[in-house]
Amino acid sequence: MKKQLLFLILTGASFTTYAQKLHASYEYIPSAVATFKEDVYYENGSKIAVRDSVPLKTAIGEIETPDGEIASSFSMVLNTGASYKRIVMQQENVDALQETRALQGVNYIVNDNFPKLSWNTSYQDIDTLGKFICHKATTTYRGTKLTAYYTNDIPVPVGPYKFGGLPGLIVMLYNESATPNYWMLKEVSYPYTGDVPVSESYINSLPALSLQEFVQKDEAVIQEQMRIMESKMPAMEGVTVERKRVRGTVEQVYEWEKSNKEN
Amino acid sequence: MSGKNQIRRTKLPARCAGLFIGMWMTISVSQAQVCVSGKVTSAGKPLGSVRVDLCSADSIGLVQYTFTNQFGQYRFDHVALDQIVLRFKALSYKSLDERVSLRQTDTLFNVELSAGGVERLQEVLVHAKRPYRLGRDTIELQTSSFLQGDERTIEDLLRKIPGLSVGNDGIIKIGDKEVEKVMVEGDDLFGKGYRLLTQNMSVKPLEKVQILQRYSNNKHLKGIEKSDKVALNLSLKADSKNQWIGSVAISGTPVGKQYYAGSINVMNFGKKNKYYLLSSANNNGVDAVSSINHLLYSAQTDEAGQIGTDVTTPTIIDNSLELPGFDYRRTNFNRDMLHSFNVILNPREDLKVKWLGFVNLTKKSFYRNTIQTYDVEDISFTNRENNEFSKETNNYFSKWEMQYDVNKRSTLIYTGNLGSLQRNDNGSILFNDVASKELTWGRGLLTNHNITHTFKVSPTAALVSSVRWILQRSPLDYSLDQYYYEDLFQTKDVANVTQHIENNLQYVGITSQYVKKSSHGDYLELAVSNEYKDQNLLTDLVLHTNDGQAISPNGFSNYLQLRSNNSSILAKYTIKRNKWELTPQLKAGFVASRWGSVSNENQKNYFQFSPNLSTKWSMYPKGRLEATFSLQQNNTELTDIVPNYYTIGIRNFVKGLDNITLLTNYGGVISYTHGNLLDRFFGSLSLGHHTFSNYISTSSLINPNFTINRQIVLKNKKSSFFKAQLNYYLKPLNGNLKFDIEGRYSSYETAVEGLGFRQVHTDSYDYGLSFRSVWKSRLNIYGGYRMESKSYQVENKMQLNNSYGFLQLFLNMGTGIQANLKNESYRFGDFMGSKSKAYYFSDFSISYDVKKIKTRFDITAKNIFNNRTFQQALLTDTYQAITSYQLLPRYISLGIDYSF
Repeated sequence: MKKQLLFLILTGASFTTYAQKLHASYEYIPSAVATFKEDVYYENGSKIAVRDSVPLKTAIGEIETPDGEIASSFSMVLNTGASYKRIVMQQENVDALQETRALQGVNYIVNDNFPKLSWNTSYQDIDTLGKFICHKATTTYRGTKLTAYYTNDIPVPVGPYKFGGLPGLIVMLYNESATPNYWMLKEVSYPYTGDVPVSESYINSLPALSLQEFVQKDEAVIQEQMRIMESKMPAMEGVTVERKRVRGTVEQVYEWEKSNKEN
Repeated sequence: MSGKNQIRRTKLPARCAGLFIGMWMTISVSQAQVCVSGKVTSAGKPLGSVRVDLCSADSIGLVQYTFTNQFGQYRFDHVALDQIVLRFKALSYKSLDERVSLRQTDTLFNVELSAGGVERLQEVLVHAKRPYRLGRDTIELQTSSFLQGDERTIEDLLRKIPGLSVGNDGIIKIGDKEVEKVMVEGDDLFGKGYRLLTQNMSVKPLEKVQILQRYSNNKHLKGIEKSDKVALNLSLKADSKNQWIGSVAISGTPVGKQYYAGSINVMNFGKKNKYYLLSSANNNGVDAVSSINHLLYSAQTDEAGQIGTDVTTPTIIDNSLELPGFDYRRTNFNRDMLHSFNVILNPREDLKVKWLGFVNLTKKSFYRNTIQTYDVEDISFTNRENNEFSKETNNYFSKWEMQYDVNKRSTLIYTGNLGSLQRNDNGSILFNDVASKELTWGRGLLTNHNITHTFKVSPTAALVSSVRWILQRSPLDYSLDQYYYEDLFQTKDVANVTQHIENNLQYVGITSQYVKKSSHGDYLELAVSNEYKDQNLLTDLVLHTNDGQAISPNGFSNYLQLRSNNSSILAKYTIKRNKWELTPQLKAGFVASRWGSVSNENQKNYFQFSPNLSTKWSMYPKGRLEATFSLQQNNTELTDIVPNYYTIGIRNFVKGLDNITLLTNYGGVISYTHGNLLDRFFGSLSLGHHTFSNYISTSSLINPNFTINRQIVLKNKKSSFFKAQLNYYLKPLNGNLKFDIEGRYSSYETAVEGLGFRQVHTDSYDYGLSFRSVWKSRLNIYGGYRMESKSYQVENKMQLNNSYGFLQLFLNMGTGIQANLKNESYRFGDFMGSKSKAYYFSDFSISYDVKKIKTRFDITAKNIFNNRTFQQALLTDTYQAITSYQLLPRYISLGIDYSF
């Protein structure tokens, strides 16, 4: 399945008449101090999203320097090993998608049985973002509420990361959270004649995991790091630390966790 | 339009025909719903990714939309309209609108699109706004998005917001950072004590929750000053009715001696006005005022443009008890009462008025027995002294604040306070079997007014200016009904000794500070200040003879006036680059001082320089090096220049230098850190050394009945330290092992009258080993052992060895039941001929939180081994002492905490 999809996307194999590639470039803002570039390529119902592994440099004038002290013993970054580009491959009308995820320096191809997004497009809200008149739509997704603004001017069901399926290209998308993740469209070009920077042989060489397997593996590593931190903190009388899992992504609750809860 | 359209009854593919025909016929007949499908082609080839909109023919409203699949097919199910418009849109093709009448249960509608429409797109979007985020650091969340119906308090709601975590103890964190404060409509009442609010306030009046990142207390410094603080702001619904909410907590001992604690919190938050009332009383050793410290001392000294935040009259007679490293509640026999009323009014959008009033009536007592041994060359004697002190404090205090936004770029804040501070200390002393009473009483007055103006010059620069006026009077009267000073005054037949003290301060300070942050993160601070201080100290020691005579001995009365004007500048610049940071700083000033009595006034003017250089360097991803080098010049304070002796209580007399001196010291501290709290290994090492070119030391006159200390200025004092801490997470044990070591050394001189100057060397070492578990089980432990060794070397070397061990057990039953057992042992080595001695303490508490009835029950057992005394040893360059303190006995109290 994975190989078939990859073949379709990368070769642009066409059952249809002169299909042309669309390229949308987003800024992904997971926190106030980091912005990543995310390129989305779309052709014939197949989508590839490629997110850079290093954050964008701050534009001069825009005060965005991380205020984290460079030498403070309390500013820390979870050690996730080497960072890789994050690639999401998706085919319209196919529930499963593939994404690459790295864990402790190893890159995996992860199979995600992606839940179908049921968008509510009945909002009257209209906003002009850049040149585009945008309409609001919302949906719930893995424990968070997503809000998207899409434009009817570009009638493709495309958006950043794993998102899409709206009547037009998503211009802005965020999740409602104390730590929201933003995606903002910065550039769109059509037809796009450049290549998709993804190597088929590389993707095929990666070890495969299901999303559930990956998340469990990943969180075991993070949990251990959190426990290491807790063990180094001063203990307070009458205070017990609640080891609550906080996921800093748009994905807060997975399908298998819901069914566990219900059971 | 070259599209070729056709409507015909179609034959469905054989494999799904049975299913569709059976199902759709039933549905379409019963609900008059039909299915519309078809194929989109261009030049005979199927077209994928074409958007197909199904609109009602009556209006242009979109009913459904879909995209064609890779075979060009589309399908709409459950269409309940007779007349529809199908709209076909795709890049590189002309749009097509087709009106379709739905008369069949399955309608097939194929279209052919022709090239055209949007054929090329090359758009770059700029200035896309983020409606969800109000500016880069504020995230606004609509409460309604997160409510599921079972929330009662703010805390219940916050638990449901992804990214926010609320601990069992009510601590709110965003990621790993605890929030600084939780405000209501921008007003902060509780600071870090926000749990009082979040655990009691109902979620009903709430409209929005704002998360303020990189929060600054001064709103105009937001984005300019360095800040990693996070705060929450709760925004209320416009029509939210004022609601009274709060909590009551009562605990007490059911049997034996009565120990109790009770408190009531009542609050009401409206959109415009907010009220908060607090009353508490206890006799279980807890300092009641500590619960509202954040209301009283809100002035942030680390903020730009502040002046005179620590100016106060000196304390002349201090009878408070300090036992470092020991829980103060064990020795504090108290009766505390506190009432506080706070109100915030927002009469206009640009004006905010706060008022805070409190009454604090306390009585604290302690009991101690001291054996003091002097053995300095030929001076050798031992004193025994038993003290019982009770300290009554009656404080009435009021504070107010007015905040006015002059315009969008500037704000004026006025804060003022007025307080009456009354004390009454009563000491019963048994000194070498001679009883005496020592009384200290006085009623002080304090008023402090500050105006701060902030002007935001640009988005990256601001000017903060403040002016402050302080008036403080701290008079005291002292009396001792025994006469120990015959050797000193050569006067006989004295019945008692009194001392009257007038201790006044008037202060005016003005400052203006400019702060600017550049795009690289470089940070500039420039400040100009002027401070004028007028201080008076009058002390009058009188010997009252048996025949009613009052004698004022020579050299034991003071009338000192000190007026000083200090003009200073501060320049500080932080150069911040990727891996390093360098901050040179210069503080320079000119001080003009006049001091003396009415008839004899002295004058001294001098310049003062205090340069400082600090740096931070990220050597490698896990390694950091920090260093600070400084030269400091400090003024002598009022008590340092007092010309004659005065008593500071319990047979001690002191006097100052009778001169003004500029004290200079220089030195540096270097620290190296490897790893951080998330790494299995995390270690740090610090080294520091300071040289005091001149420093204040004492010359003591030692007599068995009294001690007289005269301040002297000496040269060349050295002090150094090292400190290392190593942490290692032991995977097999699931816990952190920590090793600490610290050493401090100093070398200086003191003098003893008759013996001359004495060189003193002090060393102290601390070694500690501790383990903290993070087991997944209900039980966790935290235990450790620390050894301490102190030595003084003058003529001989004197050494003191102590150790401290502890083991804490935490039990979390998970159903609202939590238990905590704390065991401690203090061991003192051989000292002053007494054998080593150990003290064991154990405290236990268990609580049960029943959320359904908003009530928490707890049982606390304190001092389970019922230790009634505790001993501590003290080493100085002239004497050694062992002091034993009386402790609160064992008690078990039952408590209940109810929220309404």
